[in-house]
Amino acid sequence: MRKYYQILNVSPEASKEEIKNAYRKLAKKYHPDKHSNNPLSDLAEEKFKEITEAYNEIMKERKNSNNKNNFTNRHTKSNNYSFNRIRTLIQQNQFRRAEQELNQMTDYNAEWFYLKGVIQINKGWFMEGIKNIKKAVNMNPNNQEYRNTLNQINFQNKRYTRKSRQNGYNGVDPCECCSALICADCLCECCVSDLIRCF
Amino acid sequence: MFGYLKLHKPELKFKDYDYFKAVYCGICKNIKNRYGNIPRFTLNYESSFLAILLMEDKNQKNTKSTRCLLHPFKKFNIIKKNKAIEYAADVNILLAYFKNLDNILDEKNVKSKFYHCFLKKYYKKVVKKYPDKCKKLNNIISQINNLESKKLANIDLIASKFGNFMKNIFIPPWEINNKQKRILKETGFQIGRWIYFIDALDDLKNDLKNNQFNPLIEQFKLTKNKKLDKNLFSLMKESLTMNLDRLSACIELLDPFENKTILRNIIYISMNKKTNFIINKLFKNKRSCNEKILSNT
Repeated sequence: MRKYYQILNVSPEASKEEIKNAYRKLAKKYHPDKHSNNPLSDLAEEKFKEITEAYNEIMKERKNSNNKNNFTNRHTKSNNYSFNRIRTLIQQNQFRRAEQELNQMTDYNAEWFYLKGVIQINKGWFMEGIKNIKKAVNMNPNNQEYRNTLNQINFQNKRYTRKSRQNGYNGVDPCECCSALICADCLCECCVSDLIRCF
Repeated sequence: MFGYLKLHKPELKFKDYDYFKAVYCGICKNIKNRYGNIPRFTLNYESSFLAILLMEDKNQKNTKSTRCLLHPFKKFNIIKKNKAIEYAADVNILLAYFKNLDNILDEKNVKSKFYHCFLKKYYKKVVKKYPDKCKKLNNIISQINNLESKKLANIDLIASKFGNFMKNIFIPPWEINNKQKRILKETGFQIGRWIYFIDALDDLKNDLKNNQFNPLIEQFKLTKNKKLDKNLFSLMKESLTMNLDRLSACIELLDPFENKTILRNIIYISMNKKTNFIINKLFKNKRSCNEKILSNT
């Protein structure tokens, strides 16, 4: 177990947040996307795998010990417990079971909508999924994780738009949009009415 | 429901266009040789897309030149018969049959019933060839019809079912390795979802006017006079772009081959254009006018 902490360069007493941050930092550094055109990409990939494994192992261990602790006062923390359980199921790619358990819950808070959204996106239900994740962000705007997921979706969409431009798609440039609006305004003014007041 | 996977010609090289045309004509000829002249009129672009995707021998030299019934004085290059072309021809018949079936249920007009009599004969021939696959496809279609007749208001669910339909279509009947199979499955799924969404958006105005079923109307409680709100606009745009992003990732994961540029042209340009065009038209975005002007110039 110590080995894993060394890989992530954190002390075994570090809090969950600290470990998460350390993992994020390293993962960003070694992410295969960053090294895609590099002859050493396989090394980066290896490193990335190592980090991910270390992180998963640490989290698993902590969760197990947590669950044991939680077992005694399950009644007080029952909701948190089942949310954690659903998260573990999602991590293990058991989406169907996770959804079943989620549907049985009646506490519709931000976490519920967030998990529902994540499961739905994995199923391919993008519209409902995005809607639910947005709802979770609205309900709890301070949660970094929810916002990260939403940002990631936006990032992926931008990636497609960018690639589509690279392949020759020319939609509307913001600049051209402006000039078109100005033109439209001028035309409107010719006909006495006005489209944009300030011009 | 079909006919959305078109090329965007202005950005295509001549050699790519020629290749696409050769595939298209190859399928047409194959249909003629095995099914007769009538089903040639059902030729759609989806089958050409599939044929290019599944083609094993991906160089451009395996063509021959023939004449065509529609253009008797001109010679055409077509792809020689191979299993991808043959499968695409069968798929073409299947898609035409199922599309017509959908038309009968939706519009209940005499024309589609008339077509049905013809198509049924050819469909039975295909069923004989792939009994398991057709059973599966029929099953999914009846599930979709069931959901639609119940007026279930969840477009994501129905679109995913249609995605499964296309997923089954995209798996070729011959042996392929597991990795490729996974990619093809995902490709089919994403294309199916996209087609269903675009089709629903495309028909929305007509369906509102004629009071016909459309999952979007049920889900968002749309009425003829209510204006479509901005949230729905961004939601549609985001989910469809996500759809296309997944699809493009699938194509990039395939081993490189020469004619990938054709598929890229369809996925990155044509499908993107279609999505933006339909959404902007529906939501009466000011941008749509600009886009029209720009695309004309």
